[in-house]
Amino acid sequence: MTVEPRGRSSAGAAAGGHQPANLGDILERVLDRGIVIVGDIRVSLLDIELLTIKLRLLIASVDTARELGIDWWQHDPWLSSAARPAVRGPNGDGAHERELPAGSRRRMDEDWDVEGAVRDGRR
Amino acid sequence: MMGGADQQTGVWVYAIGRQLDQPAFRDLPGVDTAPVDLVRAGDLAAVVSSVDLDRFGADELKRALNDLDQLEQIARAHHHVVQVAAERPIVPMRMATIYDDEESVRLMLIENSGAFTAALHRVEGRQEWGVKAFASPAASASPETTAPVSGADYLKRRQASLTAADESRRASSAEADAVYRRLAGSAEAARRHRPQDPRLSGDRRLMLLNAAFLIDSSAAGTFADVVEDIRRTHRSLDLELTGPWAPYSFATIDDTVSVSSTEEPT
Repeated sequence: MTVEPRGRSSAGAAAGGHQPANLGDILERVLDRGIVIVGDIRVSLLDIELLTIKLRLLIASVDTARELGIDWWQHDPWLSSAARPAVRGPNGDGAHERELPAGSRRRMDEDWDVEGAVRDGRR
Repeated sequence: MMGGADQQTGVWVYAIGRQLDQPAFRDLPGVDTAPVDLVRAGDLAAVVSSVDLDRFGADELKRALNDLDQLEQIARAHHHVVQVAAERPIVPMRMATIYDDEESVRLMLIENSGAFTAALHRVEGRQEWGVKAFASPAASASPETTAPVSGADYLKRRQASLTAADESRRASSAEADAVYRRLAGSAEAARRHRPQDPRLSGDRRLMLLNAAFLIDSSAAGTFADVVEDIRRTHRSLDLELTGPWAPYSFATIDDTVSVSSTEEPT
């Protein structure tokens, strides 16, 4: 916590709590990263309504990026994770998913039917 | 006590850590301004606060999270606690992980202790830093020196300008790839995320790179130097360095228990 980011942006200090951090930076972290273990209260962040929010927030850059041929994230979890947690238990039926090797999250997502948001078939 | 015995509460989990002390969280407002506490199991502890299920039950919370203002409020509160906790080794939990009571949290800690320990080991002494690269407006601007002489001339110029801008952006995109590779080489781990929408980032420039890097805390200065060097050598990109963040992008159970075969059937 000793190094201040350089350059014009003050977002680094923000991340440390000195001032409000960029909402996008926070949302993408708290909504799409961190450890996923389904609690007792089944609040799926990946409910279709929230997915709509994500799509609404992201759609412009998605389109722009696609036009430019930037598509490496097409199979990233952000959109495609939509269907994942529904069947996941804290230590039950989802346990095997946590044992998958690095990079498997991507593969896992592709295995899910994600309402055609990212791809329309499964393997 | 307005709610009395009828008031149902749940336990909101922010992060799992080791060597956590309750005093670090004193006076820290959690989600819905509730006081932050610890639930311990062995040497692990969960950072938690109590939430009123009248407002944070499954349906209510779902509604709240679909309202961008409420989403922001909850997300910032959650994030703030995570950042404070990150003074010590922690792994953040996905937002809106809620348990019925502290005993359930304790069980969750015990059941996943191996995975948590592995995840904590991976991030201990390290920080997450974010690097974004934008197409520099200065690099892609095409100055008009003279006014168009006709409509056809205007259209021709417009077309040429669009093509040039497109080519320039493609080149910038390739540069962003190179920047990512170089930064990844200076990091313990690296993740590339989807570029953010300008409405989220509040930045109108085209984002070409949105990446997270796991850096040894002692090497944070060196990493910043690398970013600075890239700024000098890649003029067509605007680089933005943010951090240190709690290790959100690297706190995954999936990856940390990947190769181990610790999950024996009981």
